[in-house]
Amino acid sequence: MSHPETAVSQRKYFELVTELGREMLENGGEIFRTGDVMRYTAHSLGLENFHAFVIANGIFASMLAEGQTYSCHVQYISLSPVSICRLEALNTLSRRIVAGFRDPDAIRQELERISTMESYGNRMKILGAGFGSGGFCYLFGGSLYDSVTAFLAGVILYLFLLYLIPRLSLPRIMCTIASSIVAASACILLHRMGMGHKLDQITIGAIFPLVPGIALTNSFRNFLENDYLAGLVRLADALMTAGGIAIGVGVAAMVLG
Amino acid sequence: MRESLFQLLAAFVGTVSFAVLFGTPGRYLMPCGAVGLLGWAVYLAVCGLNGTPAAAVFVASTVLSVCSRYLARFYKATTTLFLTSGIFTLVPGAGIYYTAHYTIMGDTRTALSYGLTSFKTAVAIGLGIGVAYCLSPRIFGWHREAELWKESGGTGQDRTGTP
Repeated sequence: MSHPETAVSQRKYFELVTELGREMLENGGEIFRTGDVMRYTAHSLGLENFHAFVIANGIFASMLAEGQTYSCHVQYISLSPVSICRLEALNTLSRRIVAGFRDPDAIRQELERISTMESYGNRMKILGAGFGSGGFCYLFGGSLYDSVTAFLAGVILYLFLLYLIPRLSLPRIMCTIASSIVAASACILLHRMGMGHKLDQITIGAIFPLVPGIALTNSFRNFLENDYLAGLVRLADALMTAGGIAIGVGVAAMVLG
Repeated sequence: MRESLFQLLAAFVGTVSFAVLFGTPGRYLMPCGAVGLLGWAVYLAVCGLNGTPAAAVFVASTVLSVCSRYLARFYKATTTLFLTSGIFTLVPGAGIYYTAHYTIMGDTRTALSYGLTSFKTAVAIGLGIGVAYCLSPRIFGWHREAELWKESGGTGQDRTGTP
């Protein structure tokens, strides 16, 4: 284990394993699953004494390098939206590594390919947001006509999210407030133009793509798994987002209502 | 009857749409929608049998998590893939929004009531998923502890990482 070559490749593998963990966590992987994946891949790549401590927005990993010193890697991870297709690709990659895929450069290339992967174009996402808003408007007691209005508002919201928000470079909370102002204004204006009846149901449908329901649920799942730190981080995030949405909708209602 | 059918259809459409927003690959969209529909159907059924909403959410999330685990085995994918969009119909997204809304509007009583309901719903979903995860992987046809490692064979290491 003390050959210089092995040491170099071990360091590379170590970086790759933490990189893999970072990608998983960033794209919405469960915390315990991320830790598991890192441990299994590290073990099969022959890293000695590998340990990883994973929280909701960071990874701390250490391993024994050349049999005597500990090597450590700390990664900060921002809370960002879920991407199932990337998670799926990362899972496949980790399985391949366990099955004997060893070439460090090829693994790095694969990781880079995955980090920009998308399964749908913007048009599909906009349609998805529209149908999601319409569907949830109906589930919350709107009529079919209300759902059509929510569909339009959802489409407008996502047009704003996909085309305007990236150009504004605002902090996250401001993005949430701005998006919910747009969604709520769209609802109010469409309603005033005579589309739909129950403004409340239309609004809740339209802002549904923003609402942190999954974040809140995941936070309580973390609490139930005794991971209080991750639970608190996600809970705080969910509360902040919900507050931002409420402020945005309130502002729109005050200005236009 | 017609109303419930429309509701189930809305749950299906809503789930599939959010699966698209989460970037779920196309071949899993229909199964995801089916999971969401099943969850909402169970929720409606338990509510119809005079269950409290929290109990209904608990039963529904247990059923749909079990279903997700089956699908994960069937499609050789991860459970999270089906679960994330499948539970979207049950998740207290509207509840947490109303909590913030009424807090800002100064209606503390309504805000507290929505807040407590969202809290109970989130705990119920967490427990439901937890119960489904406690079932032995053998029921679903896995031969090893971690679902992830089925193709290559596990390394025989346990969760804590000790060799």
